[in-house]
Amino acid sequence: MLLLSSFADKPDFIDVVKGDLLIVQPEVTEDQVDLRDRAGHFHVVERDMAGEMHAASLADPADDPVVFLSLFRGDAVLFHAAVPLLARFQRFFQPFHGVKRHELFASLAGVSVATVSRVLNHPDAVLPETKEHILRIMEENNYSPSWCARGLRLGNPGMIVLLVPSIEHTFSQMVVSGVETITATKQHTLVLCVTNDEKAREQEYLSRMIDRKADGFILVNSTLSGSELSVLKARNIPCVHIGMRQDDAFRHLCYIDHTDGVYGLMQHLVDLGHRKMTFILNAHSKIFTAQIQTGAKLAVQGRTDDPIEIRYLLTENSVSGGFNGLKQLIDENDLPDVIVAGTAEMAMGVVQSAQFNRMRIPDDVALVSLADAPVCSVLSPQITAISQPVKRLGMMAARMLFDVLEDIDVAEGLPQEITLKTKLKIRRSCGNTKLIYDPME
Amino acid sequence: MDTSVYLGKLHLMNPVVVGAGPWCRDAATIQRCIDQKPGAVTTETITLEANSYISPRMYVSGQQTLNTKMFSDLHLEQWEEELGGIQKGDCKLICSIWGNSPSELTYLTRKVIHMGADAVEISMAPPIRARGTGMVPKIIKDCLRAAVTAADGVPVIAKISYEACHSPEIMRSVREAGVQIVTAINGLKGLIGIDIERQRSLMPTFGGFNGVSIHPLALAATASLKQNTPFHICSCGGTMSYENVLEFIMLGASCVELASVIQIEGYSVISRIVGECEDWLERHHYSNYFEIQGSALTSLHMFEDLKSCQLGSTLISECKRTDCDICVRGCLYDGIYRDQDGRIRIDRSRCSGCGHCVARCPDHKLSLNWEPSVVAE
Repeated sequence: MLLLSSFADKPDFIDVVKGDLLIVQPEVTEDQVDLRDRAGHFHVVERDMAGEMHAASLADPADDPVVFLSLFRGDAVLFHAAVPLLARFQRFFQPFHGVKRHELFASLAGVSVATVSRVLNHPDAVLPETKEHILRIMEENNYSPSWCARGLRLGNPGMIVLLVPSIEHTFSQMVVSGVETITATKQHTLVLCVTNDEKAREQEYLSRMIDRKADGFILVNSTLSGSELSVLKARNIPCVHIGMRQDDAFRHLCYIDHTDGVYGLMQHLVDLGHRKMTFILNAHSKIFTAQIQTGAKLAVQGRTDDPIEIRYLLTENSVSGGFNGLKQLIDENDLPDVIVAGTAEMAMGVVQSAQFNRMRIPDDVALVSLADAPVCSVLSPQITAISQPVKRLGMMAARMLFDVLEDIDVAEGLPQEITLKTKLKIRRSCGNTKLIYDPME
Repeated sequence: MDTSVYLGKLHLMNPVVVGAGPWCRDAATIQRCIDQKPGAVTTETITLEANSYISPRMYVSGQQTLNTKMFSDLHLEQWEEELGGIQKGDCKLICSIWGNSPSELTYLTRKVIHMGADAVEISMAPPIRARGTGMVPKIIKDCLRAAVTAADGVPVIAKISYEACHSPEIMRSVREAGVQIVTAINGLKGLIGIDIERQRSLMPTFGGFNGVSIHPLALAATASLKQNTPFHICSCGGTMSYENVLEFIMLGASCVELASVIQIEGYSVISRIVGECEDWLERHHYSNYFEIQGSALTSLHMFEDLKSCQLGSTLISECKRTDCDICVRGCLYDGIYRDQDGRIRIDRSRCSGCGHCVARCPDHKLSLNWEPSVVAE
């Protein structure tokens, strides 16, 4: 409900959704009369759910300082008629937060906000008479819960589509696991599409799944630009992006803050005495690489007396990518103190390459991974790695999507960009010898 | 008698609050707490991801507990359903949450308020795991401010560690974030012991140490916070009895958390302590808790301001025991001895008035006095 806050600046950009409420609060007593007089104008634009024009019985502001108004999406005539009227009442408008609508219904129905929320999200869990009562209140106020608008799809599960670049890597698997945890709880079907980082495939899946009436999309590190995604926007289908973006194509996104994590890792490596570092990174993950470089730069800057030397080597995200990375460094006679592998798979490749060349980790070359995996704590030596909360990331993306699907009000009040922090798991491959090492970050 | 108190803006029907822990892990256990009529109940700490159990995870030694379970094992969605079924009555519900980025905390704050939280408690430094937000003032400030903004007027409580209470820098960042209420202190990082025969730790990792042993630390934290900061305080740490609750209030706490004591004695201890506190007020003719809040603070002074004085140990009456030499053995100044007839005697020329024998005498036969003549028989 950004209506009121953005109203003053850009009246042309107000995005009004069916069932939207405007809360108008007279601030001082003299204005109440004023409002009541002018409130008459609101009759023009108030409609009930059937879209039928009717005269509204506005509450007397003296008794109840809250009046409300619903607008129809896409009804340009009504909307434009409303704008100048609304402009005249600007001074009555107060910043409007999402939860208020629930509070309003709760107070009208004499129940808790949580009960209203359950009617909206889990209608089955509410006593029938309570549900009827609250629905009646909502109806009287020209509002209907989204499950009702979607045709009361009980017993006919909704469909969530998840587009991932690959299914072979731990990252994607954990994202799927996280998303599935939530879609299962919400009794929705999860459809998985693997895009191989190919634009054409991604677009093909999008349009195919839109045709199949998917309720919402989660895209992982999408290669599509804003205009290529307009098909989702045009149909107003909710979507969430996993991974940082360099454009603003997505309104809802969540990602892991790698910059911060790498900074912490570098501090640790410097403490252990490492000064020459080589990063072996996935050539395809440009945004990830950029975040890593930012973190590394932060850690390096200002160290004029005791400089750190960094080299970046771009390979493929696989065991052989890591294997060939170390091989190249040996061939070029450019062995660093420590190798920072972009993924657990690449770290495994470095381990294998070291074995082939009879090198010992960490004595001959230390190794850390920018992504933790179960195998990291099993290998000998155990691999120091940054634990990325990937499952949580998947859960978070799915939650954001359901927030939009179930109840616009709550979603509006919630942050639309969520950052998760990593945690450094210090083990042995970095050269650490302490047993339980949990630095006070 | 009005037993209600205010924790900042939060109005509680009495000052006993059930702290976050496994005794409040779902609807059924929270309801059991509420039915004992405390002022508020805090949920086990809710995070974005359910946390799995390790076994064993709870260690108890006397009235001390060590717990390696820091967070709830329920997903956010499950919490939504659990909290929906609770009958709160007059009891307030505080949702404890943990996250280590501002946006994560914003999200959780909005969600738990939507689920019906009357206040949100942010666990700033769980004693084990993820100390990320624990001790860096800037991170603390950013995270707490995000929660305060998201809470939009609903009280936000910062649960802080013993170390944080004594760091002016950290407490300043908590205040600058807009937080007005703190819960102190969180459990301490501990280990229960070593099996010396097998030369192995009794626990596989560190745990949150709570119970009677941290009570003096929690008292000191309450007194320091009350005197040095403007926060409203919910005291926490080794509250085992109604006396402990009153101690905290007399040091300025607005309310007091029960935690380990529930694990040790069961849920009924909650209503027992609530009742005993009220009985005490009535016996002493107080009509509410505000009359005693902070009453003991005036008896605390800066160490530098204390004047040296010449007190000495005195026998209140003859000690007839022959099997006990605690005072004789314990005196580091050689001030107590048995005379030829075996009677306990005090050498006032050696006694320095340290108070050790007075504290340790099992029969309470000793006291500190100005001059021996004052206690003339």
